[in-house]
Amino acid sequence: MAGGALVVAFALVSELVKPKAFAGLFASAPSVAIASLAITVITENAEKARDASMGMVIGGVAMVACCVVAVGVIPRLHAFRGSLAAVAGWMVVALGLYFGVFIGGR
Amino acid sequence: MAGEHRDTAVRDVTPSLHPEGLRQIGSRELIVRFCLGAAVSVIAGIIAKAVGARFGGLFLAFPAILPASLTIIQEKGGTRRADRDASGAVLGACGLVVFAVVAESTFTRLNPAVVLVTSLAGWIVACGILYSLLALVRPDDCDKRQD
Repeated sequence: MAGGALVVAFALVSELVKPKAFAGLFASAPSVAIASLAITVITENAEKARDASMGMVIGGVAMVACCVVAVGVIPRLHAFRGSLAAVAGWMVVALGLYFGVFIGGR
Repeated sequence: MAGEHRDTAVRDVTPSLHPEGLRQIGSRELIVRFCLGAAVSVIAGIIAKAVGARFGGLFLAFPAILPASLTIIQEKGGTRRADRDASGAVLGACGLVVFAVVAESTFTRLNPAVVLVTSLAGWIVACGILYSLLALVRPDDCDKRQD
């Protein structure tokens, strides 16, 4: 619930500001992260939240890749299909980096 | 001549508030975004429980909202606006990495509330710097009058 509420809050800020490139910043706001990390600290402990943040660093790098893919393919594929391609790019980068860094590095 | 005129034109790249934008957002859009945000939070929590907190952490930066946001923007304002929004999302994602690095390095040292506020401040500062750089390097992409 908290994650959804924060997503809506950032979406409203995004609609409130111009230019569009600035409003786009809020599409990658840490809304889900703030809610989830707060819940992790409350229900578990700060050590678990730190571990989750470590995973999030890789998820964030994959998010950068995802958005770069979106910028490249949206003019050609249009928003919905372009976004799906970008999410697929996120999956590849996130899982590839995770297994490369945390599993392969052992 | 026309190109010369466009190159020398003053661009308006300063972010500003436009309350009329709120009237354009429908309840369906907000419900979709709320459901996606809540769903990703729950899925990240389930994965963290099942596989581990570190793997679950990956999904704290999952682009769940991006497809819905870009599709809605394209329906309203066309591909060009969706593309400009995605350019901003690239910068926001770089800020997301800063958020995660700050959180990771401070969670066991500081009060968790302070950690979350500091990490959010890191995201805001990183986004501010990156947007300023984008406005310097590609002012056309940040020109309000071209939105």
